[in-house]
Amino acid sequence: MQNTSILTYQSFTHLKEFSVQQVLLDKQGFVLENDERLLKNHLFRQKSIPEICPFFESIFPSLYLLKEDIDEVHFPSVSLYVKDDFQGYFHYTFSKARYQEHIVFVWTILKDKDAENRQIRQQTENTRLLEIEKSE
Amino acid sequence: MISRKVILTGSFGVGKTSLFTQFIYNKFDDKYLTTIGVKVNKKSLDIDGEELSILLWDIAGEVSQDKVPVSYFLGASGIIYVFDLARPSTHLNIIADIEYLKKMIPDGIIKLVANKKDLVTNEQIEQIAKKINIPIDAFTSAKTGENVEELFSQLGKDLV
Repeated sequence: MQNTSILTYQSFTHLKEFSVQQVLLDKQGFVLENDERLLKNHLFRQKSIPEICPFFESIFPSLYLLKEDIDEVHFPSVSLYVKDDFQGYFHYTFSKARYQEHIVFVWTILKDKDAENRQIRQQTENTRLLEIEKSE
Repeated sequence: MISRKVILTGSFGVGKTSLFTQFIYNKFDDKYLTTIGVKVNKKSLDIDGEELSILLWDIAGEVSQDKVPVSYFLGASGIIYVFDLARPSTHLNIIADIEYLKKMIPDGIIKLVANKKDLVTNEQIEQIAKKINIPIDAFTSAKTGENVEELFSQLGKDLV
């Protein structure tokens, strides 16, 4: 596995305004603690998060490899669709820790409020470049 | 059931999202909509009697692969690198990009995919393949669906 200390892609400090939430997951991916500011607990009562979300299913095994209290891994601008309740783009950061003698994962969520504007800007720029290429 | 994470990558506008949508939903939309960040979905395939779940990551297009957040490659077993047969600018960085991707997933499978087959002739495809001078794993059309299922089926076989 790559050294996850180099995986942090960007700092959150560039964000002008954001909403943040932390969720504590057990090693199966069930929610232990959640302040419910963005993500509501009722979404995850029956099943673990990796069972519900393909994004989590694909990254969860890698989280075990993080060094406890040292590594963190950051995924910028993830679009995660969960039962109509969690639409839009979010920055996620994960770390591994010990809580009451158990391994837990700390999942930090920041709403990417600039995503729609960035998409519009990028769309404009890409369309412009495609038009230039076509005319050449 | 086995699960494998696969990333669709390449320059912008080459048809990654269209391949994603064609594979996951069997649909195609002519309208170009830029992808930002990442979206993930999955589809199960039967590979010689074994069920394989492909966890497919559709990521924002980048002209150069070293601009893709490194974390996106974490835990990936396969990468589909897509270029556009009808856009020469997307042929320029293929070798450098593939070399970079090999470093990102040293033990993984990388497929080089020439998309938008419906926009070029067979003669043009031959010329492009000769010019690129690196084996192309699949020639697809996300629009018509040609070779899309076959691409993922072959990748699935390589991943199990």
